[in-house]
This record gives sequence, C-alpha cells and structure tokens, in this order.
Amino acid sequence: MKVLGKETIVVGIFVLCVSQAVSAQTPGQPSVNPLLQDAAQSLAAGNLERAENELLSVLASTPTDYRALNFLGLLRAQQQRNAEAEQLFRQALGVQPDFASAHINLGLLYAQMGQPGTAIPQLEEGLRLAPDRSDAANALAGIWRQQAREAESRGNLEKALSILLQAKKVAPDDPDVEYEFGMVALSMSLLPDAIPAFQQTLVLRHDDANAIYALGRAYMESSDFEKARQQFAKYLELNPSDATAHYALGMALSALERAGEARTEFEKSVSLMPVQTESYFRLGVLDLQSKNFDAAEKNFEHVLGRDPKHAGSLAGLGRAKFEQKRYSEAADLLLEAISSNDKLREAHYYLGLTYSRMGRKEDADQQFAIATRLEHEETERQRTVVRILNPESAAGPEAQPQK
Amino acid sequence: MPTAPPGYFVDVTEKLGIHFQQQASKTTKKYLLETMGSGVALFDYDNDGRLDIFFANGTRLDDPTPKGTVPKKDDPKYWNRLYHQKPDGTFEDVTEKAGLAGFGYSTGVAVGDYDNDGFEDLYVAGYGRSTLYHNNGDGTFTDVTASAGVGGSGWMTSAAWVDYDNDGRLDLVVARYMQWDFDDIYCGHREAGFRSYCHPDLFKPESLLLFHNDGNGKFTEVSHQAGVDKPAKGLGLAIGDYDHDGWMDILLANDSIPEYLFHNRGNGKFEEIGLASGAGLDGNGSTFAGMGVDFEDYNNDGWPDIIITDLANQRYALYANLKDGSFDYSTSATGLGANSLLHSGWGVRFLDYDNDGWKDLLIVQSHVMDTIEVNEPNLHYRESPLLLHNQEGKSFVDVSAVSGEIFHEQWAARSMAVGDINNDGKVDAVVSSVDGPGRVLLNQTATRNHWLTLMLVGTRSNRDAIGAQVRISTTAGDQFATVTTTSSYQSSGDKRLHFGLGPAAEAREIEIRWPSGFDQQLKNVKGDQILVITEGKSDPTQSSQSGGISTR
Repeated sequence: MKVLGKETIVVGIFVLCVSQAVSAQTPGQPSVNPLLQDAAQSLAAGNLERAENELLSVLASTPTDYRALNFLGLLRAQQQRNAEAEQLFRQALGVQPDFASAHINLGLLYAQMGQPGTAIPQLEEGLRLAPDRSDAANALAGIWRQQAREAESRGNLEKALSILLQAKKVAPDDPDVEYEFGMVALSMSLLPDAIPAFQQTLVLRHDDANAIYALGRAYMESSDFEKARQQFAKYLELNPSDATAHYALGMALSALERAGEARTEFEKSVSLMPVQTESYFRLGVLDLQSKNFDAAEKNFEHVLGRDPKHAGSLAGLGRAKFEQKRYSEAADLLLEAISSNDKLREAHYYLGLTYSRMGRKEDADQQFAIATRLEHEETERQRTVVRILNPESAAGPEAQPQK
Repeated sequence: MPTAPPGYFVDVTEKLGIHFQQQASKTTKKYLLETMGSGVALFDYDNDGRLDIFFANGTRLDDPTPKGTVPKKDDPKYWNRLYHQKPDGTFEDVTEKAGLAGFGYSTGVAVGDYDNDGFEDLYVAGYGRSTLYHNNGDGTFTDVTASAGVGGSGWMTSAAWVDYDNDGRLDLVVARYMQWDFDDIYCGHREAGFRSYCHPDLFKPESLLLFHNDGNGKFTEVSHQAGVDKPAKGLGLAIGDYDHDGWMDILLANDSIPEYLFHNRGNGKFEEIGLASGAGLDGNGSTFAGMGVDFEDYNNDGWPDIIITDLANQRYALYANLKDGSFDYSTSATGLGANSLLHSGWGVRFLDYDNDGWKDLLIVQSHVMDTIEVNEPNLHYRESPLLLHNQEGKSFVDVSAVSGEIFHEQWAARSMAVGDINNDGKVDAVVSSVDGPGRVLLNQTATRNHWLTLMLVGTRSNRDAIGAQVRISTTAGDQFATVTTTSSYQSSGDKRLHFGLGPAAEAREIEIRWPSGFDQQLKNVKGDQILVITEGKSDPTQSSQSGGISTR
C-alpha cells in the first residue's frame, strides 16, 4: 500500500477539523461569536492572515474563549509553529477539559511532530467525547498502522496484530487497516482471522488485487483449495501477466489434483518469467506424480542448474531415482538434499525408503525417525500458533481441534 | 474425463424390515467414543445360505460419565441386533433368541468359525471389554469370553480372525485405539458450538492384541511373543499375504501415526514393516488419520494392494503392491486423490459392482467432527457414500452421482460390510452410522456381465478357509482374491469370494492355495453361480441359494 506523506495528511486533517469544529456546535453551548465564525471560514478557505487577525481580536476581548484558542492553535499548526499550537490547544483544554476538538487537534499535532505515543491518548479522548469524528479515527488508525508495521519489522507479529485490532475498532471501514490486519494474521497462520479481514477489505474496496491475492493465499493455507483457485483466477483477470500468480494458481490446482491445468499454469509462469526455479520445480513434482521420470529429472535439473542447492529439487531427483530403483544414486541425491536443508522431511522419508531397499535397516529406521520427528515438530509449531490465537483454548495440544 | 458404467444401489432397509438405530449417546463433553461408531457384520449364522446382519451398538453415556466407567447396555435400545434373513428375503430381529444383546459399548465385529464346527462364531469388540459368542448351531449363541480368555482390555476397535500359524484354527487379532478414559478434556475453542473431539495425539498409543487359538476353546494372548505389541492407534484391520509367502500378514490402519504392516515371518513372529515397505506414510512422507482399510488386488496383477481411508484434505491412501515386498503410493496417479480430497472415509471395500472383472471402490464417509463446518466451512460432517469405478486397474472414476439416490444423501456413516445379500450375483452393502440408522443397500446395477461366487470350506485348513488365496482366469485375464471376513472399518463381511467375469460365461481355471499349503485347481467353471469348494475335494457343489433369489 502506498503511504501518504505526513504533510498531506496533517494539512488535510487540520482543514477538515476547522469545518467540523465550526459545524459541531451543540445545543446548550453559548452561541458562536460572528467574528469567530468568520475566522473559522477564513481558516478553512486558507486565508490565514485574515483568520489570525480575527482570532487575535476575539482573544483580546475574551482570553478564555476556548474555541478561539483552538482555532488559533490550528492556524499555528498550519504555520508549522508547533510549540505555539500545542500551547494554544492546551490552553483551550484548560478552559474546557471536555472539548473534543482540542484533544483531537492536539493529538494530530503530536502525530505531526512524530510523537505518536503522546498523540494517541489525546486522539482517544477526543474520540471518546466525539465518536463521530472520523478525522480522529483515521489519524489514530494511521498511527497504529505505522506502529504495527514497526512491530512487524521487528518480528513482533503478536504486537502488530494486537495494535491492528485496536485500529479495526476505531476505523472499521478502513480497507487498509483490514488488509494489513489480514496480512499479519496470515503471517501468523491465523487463518480464521485473516480470511474475513481480506473479505472485508474487498467489501470496502472491490477489485483490490492485493487483497484478492492475499485471500487466495489464506484459502490455500486453510486447505480450501477450490476457493484459493477462484481467488487466484480472479487476480489473474486483473493481472494476467503476473508470473507469481500463475504459479500460485498452479499450486491451488495441484492441490486439487487437477494436474493438467496446474501444469498449464506453471508453464505460463515460466513463459512469463523464464528465470525462476519454483515453477520448474513444481512441473518436476507433477511429472514425478505421473511417473514420467525423464521429464521430472529434466525439470529438477533445470532448477539445479540455477540453484545447485535447491533442496526440493535434489530430493525430487532422488525420489525419481528411487522410483526407478536406482537406489545408490537416489541415496546420494537425497543426502545432498538433506545437507542443503536438513528439515526437509520428504528427503528423510525417501532416504529411509531407499536405505530400506538397500537392506540398510538401521540407517532406514534412523531416517524414518527423523522424518517422524520433523512432522511432529511441524505439528507442534502449528499448535503454538493456535494457542496464541486462542489463549482461551485448552493449553495443551488439545487446542488443535479434532483429528 | 473417461466414461464409466454407473452403478445402482438402492436403500431397501425399511422394505426388508430392518429398524436399527445406533446409539452413540452424544454428550456435551465430546467423548471421543461417541463419534467412532459401531460395527456391522454380514454372515450366515444358521447356514441357510442367506446372509444375516448383525449390528453392534453403543450404550447410554452419562453427561458427564465418571472416569473409569465401563458403560452398560441398560435399555433394549442399546442392544446389539441380529437380523435373520427369511426365505422371502425379509429380515426378522432374533437378538433375544440368539442371546446377542451384548454388553458394554460395542465397537467392532469379527465373524469366524473358531472351533471349526461349521457354524460362524462372533466376536464383538468393545470399550473396556469384548465378547466372544460361540454359535451353538441352533440359532443361539453362548458368551464364552471368560473361558476363551479373549475379553481383552482398553478401547478395542476392529477385530480379525486369521490363522496366522496355519495350524488349521483361526486366531484372533484385536486392534486397540488408544489409552483413553472418560476424562473431561476440553478441545477446540471455548465458545458455544466450538467444542470438538480431541486429537488422538493427546492420548497414548495402545498395542494390538493377538490371541492364539489353542484348539480347546481357549486362547492364549501372544501379542508380545509374536511381536505385534508395537504401540499403535489402531482402527481398521485387514489381512492378506502381501509377499505370497503363504503366511497371512496383518495390516493395521493407525490414526495419525504411521500405518502398520505386520509381516508374518512364518515362525510365529511378525515384523512391522509399514514404513520400510512404503505403506506407512503418504507420498510426501506424512502421516494421516487411517481409519478404514482393505487389502485386495485392485489391478489384477495377482498381488494384494492396500487402501486406507482418512480425513478430508489427506486423500485416501492407495498403495500398489510392487511385488518385491514394497508398495508404491498411487493415490494421485490413479485419480483417487482428486476423488477423495474433500472427503473423510471410514468403511471401505474393493468390490466389483458391475461385474466387469475389476474391483471398484465403495466407501462410506463422514467427518469425525460434528462441528467441522464451524472451523472449515468447505468440509462436511455428513457426507454421501462414494462409488469409484476401476478403469482396468489404472485409475478410479467417481460414478456416485449417477449410481442411485443414496449417493445424494448425507450420512454420518462409519462401518460397512459387503456381501451378496440376495444371492443375485451382485455385491450389496450394509452401513452403520453414528447415532443413525443401519442401512441395507442392494446392488441393482444393470449389467449383463457374468459372475462367480466361491464359498470355500477348509478341511485341513480352518473351515472358513480364511487366508485361502484364489486366482481365477477368464478370457479377459486373471483375478486374485483372499478369503477373509475382515476389512473396512470395525466390520465383518461375506466370507464368500465374489468375482465379476465380464462377458466371459465361465472361468477357465481356478487355482486355490489353501492355508494348509494345499493347492487345488478347477477347470472350466461355469459362471453365474455360487459354488461351494471343499478343500481336497475335486467336485465342487452348487449352493442351494445360487442365483435363485430375485432382487426386490
């Protein structure tokens, strides 16, 4: 997502604040001084000089006019005289502690000054007093999005997620907040949270290609391959030349065991981006599944030509040799795959099978044990994530429902 | 997409007078026992030539049920039920007369004539205790569990009769699921409607039980001596001689750990070779929730292959026998992966529904978790059965949609037994569901293909001939099958071997390798009949029921 410049946001927000502040007179409040009203309009129109004169005039006669103090603060903020602006907003709040606009403007000012921690309580208080102030909500959401991005970049996904949850509450109609929440949730494999977030993004912003693609990814991870396929296909309608998306669609089709269509997508990906490894690798896997070992080896070797340490392709090549009963070659390749990635469960499993065929029972058992341990560790990692998502769930592995 | 002839299966349960309802006794505690179902058996207990039906049943479960409880059948609705098939093809409930009401929460059923007296006996597995019923030959059974010493312990699931040492007497194998009790363990999200059954990983494994038949009505548990006491999470059981060494091997479908294949070494000992043989994991080296199982030759190469059903997104595991002691994971290559991706299967059998000479697949389905839609809306708790046509051993094509109404109904099915209930030469099925009705499905597929059903009677071998390996040759090629009552999930099927002959009106040759080691050959055997072949006797006899019952 493209992030708007700070200046743009601040100026826009302050202009909006003026008009909202003028129109937000509530019954029971003293009637607004016509001079003040004129000042507000001048301010909104960008006539700062006239507004300043009028506001100073009001304050000369009534130094405690909190609305005039607030408007003058706005004016100073637009003049980048931040210290004075801060002082004026605080003066206004000193006179009228429940004056929402001043809280909000002070919050916006702190945000502009790069002090989000100080801005947040002011914006929150402003929103508490004036829940309809979308400028405050958007600003608060903007700050939280930024904080979430920072937390994410530090690898603290849980914090990012909790910050974005807050942002969703104050800005429920903000597609960026929804999308970013979805992306963090997806990174944490919190699919029941990621999927509705992307769906909501698309409700708020139809044909958002990034959200469509992300939704496809989330469906893939939740093993809802048909829905993933639909999303990737929809994305490709918008971006037909995206090689990565053709690859993703190929993956969904592979998972659906629609090998022919999957092959077509991988081939499209290769034709759009010939310098890559993954589509060739997937083509090799499809060849392996259809027992076309020559073609499988060719595709795996293509990958290895570009990335000699590609563990998946080394394992695939080893598996092809295993299937052809060329056990010695298979063992060498599978060992190479493991030295490239010792967490590759499939390589350990097929090395175990290979050793078994070679009569090396103890070696085989050792590899099977590693493969089993790796699968167990993968399962445990998934459960840890589920526990993070659902702290209310049972604390043990039972948090993972059913079989 | 390749074309395949449709089948036609019809639910005739009501018409035949069967009114069975499995009582799962669902609780708010989501005790795992509630969702695993009870078994079903098809067998001829009174030797009248017609298959009878036995349904196992649950018990009342309190909510909560105290830990350590062994539930009891304290109301007739919890009874197991025996339905006798009358000459007109309808059934009558003879449970009380037979003395088979049962005890405890019943799970699997295994049929076998363990004392070779010519009458089929019944083993009913259960939670906490299993029961062996001796068939008295007069329509009644006697509980001989205590004297036989086969009560077992723990949560027993499927059971199998097999003469593992070829001494002419059937031994008993009993699968056990896990070390489980009525603990109140909360699984799933703590939100109304989200509580789920717990993952088996939470519970410790439990080993198989192997009871050697000592020949005097007594059995000795030899699990440890025989080497089958490897910790397991067993659900489905099947037997077959995967390496043609003349000794029956045991296949155990495990839930979420590697599948076990116990190779019978012929010296009273077994070696577990599931992983080493390539039949322990899926093609990616992943475990899956093995539930139902069958161990038959689907590609007519003469060697038994394996299918194991599991949960949605795991794909049913098909292993082709490579004839060298190993198996090849063939799920994707045969199209079974695409056909099973979103399904959860329990009872499964290779059966030739259209008698074309190739064993097809009938699978009953349902997710284990009745709240699955809450977490995964694309999956379903209740599912239709699945009928897959075998395309000459190369692939399977889904013909369910065009094979009758039952394939459009949604059941919480678990167990399934198959057999030719009306002796019309087409294999039928009986299905039991969790907390649902038992169903009888008659195969009324329109076909002109011929068939041949063989009932083998052992003399030196066990009388049921369980473990006999039969090859028949027709103009279309060879077929191979093993006599067994055990396969599927917690169920026991027709021991008679059924062969579709396709357009061939006769089998040119039948070769039988009896468990005793005796080889027997028959030439030019006419099709469309049920033939009784006795070990060592050269002249087979036609069954009195052969081809004589019309479909209703």
